[in-house]
Amino acid sequence: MSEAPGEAASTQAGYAGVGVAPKPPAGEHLVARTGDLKPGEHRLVRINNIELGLYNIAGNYYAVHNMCPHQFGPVCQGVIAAKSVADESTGWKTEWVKAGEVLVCPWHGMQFDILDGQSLSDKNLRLRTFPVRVADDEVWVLLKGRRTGAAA
Amino acid sequence: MSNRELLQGRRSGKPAGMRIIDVDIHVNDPPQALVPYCDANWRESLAMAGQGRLGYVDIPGYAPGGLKPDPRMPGGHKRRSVNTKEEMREELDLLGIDEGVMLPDNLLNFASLSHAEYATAIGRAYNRWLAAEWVDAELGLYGAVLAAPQDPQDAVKEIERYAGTPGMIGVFLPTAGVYPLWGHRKYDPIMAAAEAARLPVIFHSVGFVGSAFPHNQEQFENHFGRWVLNHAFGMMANLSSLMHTGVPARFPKLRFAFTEAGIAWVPLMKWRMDRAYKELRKDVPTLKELPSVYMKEQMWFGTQPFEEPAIPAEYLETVRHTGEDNVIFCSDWPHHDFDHPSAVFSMPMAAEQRFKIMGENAVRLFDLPALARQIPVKTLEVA
Repeated sequence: MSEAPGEAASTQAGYAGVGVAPKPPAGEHLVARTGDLKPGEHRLVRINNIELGLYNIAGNYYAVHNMCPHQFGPVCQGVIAAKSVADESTGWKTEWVKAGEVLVCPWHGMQFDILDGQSLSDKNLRLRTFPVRVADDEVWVLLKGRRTGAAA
Repeated sequence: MSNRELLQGRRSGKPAGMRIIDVDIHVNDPPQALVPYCDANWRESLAMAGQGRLGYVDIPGYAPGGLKPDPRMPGGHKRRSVNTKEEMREELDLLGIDEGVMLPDNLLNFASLSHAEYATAIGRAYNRWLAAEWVDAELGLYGAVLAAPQDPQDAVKEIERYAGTPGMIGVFLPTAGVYPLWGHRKYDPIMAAAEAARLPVIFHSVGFVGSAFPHNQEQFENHFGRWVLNHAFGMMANLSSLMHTGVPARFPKLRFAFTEAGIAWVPLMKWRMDRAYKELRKDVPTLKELPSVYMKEQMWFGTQPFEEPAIPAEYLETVRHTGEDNVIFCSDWPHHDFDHPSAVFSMPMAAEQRFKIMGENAVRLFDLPALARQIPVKTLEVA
């Protein structure tokens, strides 16, 4: 069962198409080299006061705020998992989808889709996501995105 | 990932002057920790229990967690435990909690131990260990004496042994799997001893599955089904049990604390019991007042797990129906469903209500001295 790509994913694709900007836009920060993170790996990055998790999922990069909108736990310190689904298309049987794309908050176990920050259990909760741009071997994050806690 | 790393840099935002007293925190109590404190005749049995599989609140021969037939599901979060007094103090500092009442981890299942002699040996060892290694009134770390339902006379001796010990401020009545329920007259000596010692009794359940009502939950095929019910039903069943034999009327100075079931069940029980009393007073002649009167005067209810309604006003209504003088903050740290204090005190309440719930009500419940250790107010950055 596939899902529509999230905003972070489409934004990233757009940025990737821009290529190397001569001068990075204001608020853009170099956070990694592409060789630093293999697919399936992630790292915590601190930019000024903002801590975020940078994830390489199947070669695409995603950045999410390390702040769970539930009780403000360090969500990026949680494990990465899959999503259990059961609906008409699966005959109401449990199947596992989005393996490697689900973040589990270590405080209370709330699960989020890393691709768009959406909570899997509460449609009103979302992780704040940040646009990511890859230029040559550089991974840049733009510190501008949705506010934590509010749905788009 | 240490507990410290999970808490560091998280927000506190604690209002200046707020004293936060947490009536439910947990110490990790593996069998081997208690071995040196155990009577010689059961020491080897306890040590053997520690050599087996050490599950989460599920250790054969020590904390029998009962029948949990459902599969393990990937995508959960990790178990946390606190292993020393120093760790506990540091973590409570990071949470902004001034004082806490310590309850066990594994021995939450204590009531399901069927061998009374062995169970009481474990209970005594736990109390010695808790008093020796954890309780420290100056650090705001308080203990509750474990009272064994398996042998009320032994429980009485334990309560009397620790009565007056600085920092031992309550009696833990193991609630999960207890049979019969705590209102049974066989426990009257425990209630009398706690009342005489001026120690409130604390009920705390856990996700135990067994034949003892209301924990006969083996039909659920996953943890969701049980978790919704086990703590709340444990509290409801024991409250009804206490009331139906008139315990609060017969022990009028005894105070009761109900923990880890949230508060939303309380108005339901208050109204149902009052309604039942109007019709069935003849059944419960020991009660001289409506049950709600005893609840207001003698009973306190822990916040955790905080209900988190999408509309905060609904929570404030629930606090009002539960009794704003009777709601006590509980975090349940370090367990999987703990509440950060800020989740509760950031509810849009009047300052007076906030201060009552976060600490002042617990001061009244435990008769704590007005001047207590208060950790410096730290407003941690919200990044």
